[in-house]
Amino acid sequence: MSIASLLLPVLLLLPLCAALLSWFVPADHSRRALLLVTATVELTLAAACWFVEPASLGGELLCLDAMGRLVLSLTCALFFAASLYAVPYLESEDPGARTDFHQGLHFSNAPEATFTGCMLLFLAASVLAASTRHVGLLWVGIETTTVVSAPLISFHRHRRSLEATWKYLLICSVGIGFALIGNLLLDIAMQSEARHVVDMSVSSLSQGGGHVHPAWFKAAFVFLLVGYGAKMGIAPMHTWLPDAHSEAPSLVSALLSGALLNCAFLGIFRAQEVALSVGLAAFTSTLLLAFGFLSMLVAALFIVNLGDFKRMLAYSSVEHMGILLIALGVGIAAGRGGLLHMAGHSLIKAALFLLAGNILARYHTKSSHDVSGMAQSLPMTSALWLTGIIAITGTPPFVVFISEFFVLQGLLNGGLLLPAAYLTLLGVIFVGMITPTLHMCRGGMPHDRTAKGRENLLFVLPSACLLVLALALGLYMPEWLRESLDKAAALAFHP
Amino acid sequence: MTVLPVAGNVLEMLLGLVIISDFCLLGAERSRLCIRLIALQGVILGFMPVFAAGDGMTPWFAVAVAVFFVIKGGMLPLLLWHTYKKLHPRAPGASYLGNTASVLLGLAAFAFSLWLNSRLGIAANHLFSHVFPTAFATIFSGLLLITSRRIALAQIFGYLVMENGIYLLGAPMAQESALWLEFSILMDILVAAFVMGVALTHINRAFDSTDVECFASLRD
Repeated sequence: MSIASLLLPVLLLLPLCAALLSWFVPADHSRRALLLVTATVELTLAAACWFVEPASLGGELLCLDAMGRLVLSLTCALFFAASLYAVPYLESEDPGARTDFHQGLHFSNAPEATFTGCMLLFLAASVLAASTRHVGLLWVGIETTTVVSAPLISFHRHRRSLEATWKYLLICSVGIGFALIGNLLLDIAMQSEARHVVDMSVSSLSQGGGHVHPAWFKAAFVFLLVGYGAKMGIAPMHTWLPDAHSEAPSLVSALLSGALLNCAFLGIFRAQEVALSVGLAAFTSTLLLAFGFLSMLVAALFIVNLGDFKRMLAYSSVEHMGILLIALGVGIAAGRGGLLHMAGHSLIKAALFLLAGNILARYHTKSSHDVSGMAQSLPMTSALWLTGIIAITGTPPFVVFISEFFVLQGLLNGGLLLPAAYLTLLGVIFVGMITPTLHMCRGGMPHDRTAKGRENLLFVLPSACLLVLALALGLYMPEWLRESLDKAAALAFHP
Repeated sequence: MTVLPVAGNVLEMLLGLVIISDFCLLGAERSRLCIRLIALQGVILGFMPVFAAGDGMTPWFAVAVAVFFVIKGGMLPLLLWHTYKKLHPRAPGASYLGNTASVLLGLAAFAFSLWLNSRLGIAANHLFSHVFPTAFATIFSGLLLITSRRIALAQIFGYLVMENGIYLLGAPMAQESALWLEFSILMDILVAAFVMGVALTHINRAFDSTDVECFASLRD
């Protein structure tokens, strides 16, 4: 057996086996080591996929194309960063009864074995979603990410996290149910008197373009967009996202924002890939643009004066998912930019959520009004937090600036109204995020926050690495990455 | 794909039972009754792939159908029952809309789905046009249960009824080569119901209630 034929099965089975093993490992430190080792091996294997083309299995059941490889690499990179952070984080968590600093109520954490096991299952489900081109199996992968990430959100079993978990489970499960209806309608749209049995792999669906029933296909696309859009946090189905992102432990928020949203985007990307090949991209692109701009608008309206820095990051995710949809709607002119945007958002947002965890641990509040003097109390976190916010708001020379510029360039082809709206919304969000950030970093410590002590390097190192990567991508894009992005964009971005 | 006359009659009868159970669910307040109705739906839906297979039923297909039957008609209702038994206090699942209005809305949805079915140009799968109105009305009933009930357990009922509707919609497309996919989807739903049940138990412990009106602390 060659390495190429083993890559995908090992990538999928390793976290699955590690998850099962984690429930049987008795000692916490061994379980943390298992998490870190699995994350390291998965990252290495994902990196190997850039040098060795993995062999497909079962047609397109397990098949890694350029888009899948990008999502897979981002997922494994973020999972590695989150695992690095998880080791000292889990060590610092008191397993006994604790008091919620917000409401003063007692609560206890979920068992660490459940947390670690669900994290590893989340990785397995994300890898499955990234490495299949079968829309049915893609649905299974995305639905599994919902189910296994719910216990991660309610790791701290206090009222707010349980409320957030319930909303997340319900909205995403209904959303993903809509996506399943979309898949069934896609099957019906592709059936004809001569073609009863439809292979649901993307290539097969794309080749059936001659028989497609347009009305059923349009209905299927709407269901897929609403369904996966709910999971992706697209407005107006985004309501679970600020709650879940703000109440989950910070490393889980980083994974949700950086990896889970990409998996949901992959669902819409595959649907657009089929739409492009059956000649219905004009209809789908209009929908994508509408939902994209609506998401940016909702984010801009809520982000100003929000007062909760974790919710601010969550609404920023709504904005960036909107930009992704806009890029997909604009087409190939924004193709490379759109995918670069996905990468940039994942890296920077994950870094920011990890840093938000540091701030929360020191200040015991999520209110940006109550946090000040971070430059003195948390110098490393403060510097990285400011850098991250500058980066995520599309300031040069970070990668998000380059990608947002690509999208703007694509929008300019269609008149001035949309570019003007796009720039205005970006401007509002920039002001809405920078203002509280400056307040948090500057000034002195509040009198009632006297906690001091050196920052643990392991709590800032993952974020620093992710931000350096985002900066490097903004300054220089290697030829092989450029080619890969173009190849991925050609799959679903219409000419 | 055509439906034989005798099988067609049985199919119509089973679909009628599904619709009646939808209306009963919309009008029911007691959780125990809802669980029994969901079990009934599960048992009926467990048979559905048989109609898609027609005379092409193989032993492997029959085994798979038996597994689906056990999961939908047995394991899922048992899971619900287990969750229900753990909840204290067991509040009735009253609707914000009122039970009569809920049933009337369900009826309207069924009438609309019949009209929609007559207007839609169904491509090639004739069995699909048989199940479409019932599936559409069942999905709608599920969504109505999720959005109109005061207790969180009723929202799980709604989710499962919605999934039943989706399962019914997909039954005409069942094929032996894709049974692994149907099994995966069903397992996902089973695990989702399990996770919802566990979350609900913790919610009940933390809030001393499963009334969704208690979930109001997370707002902008």
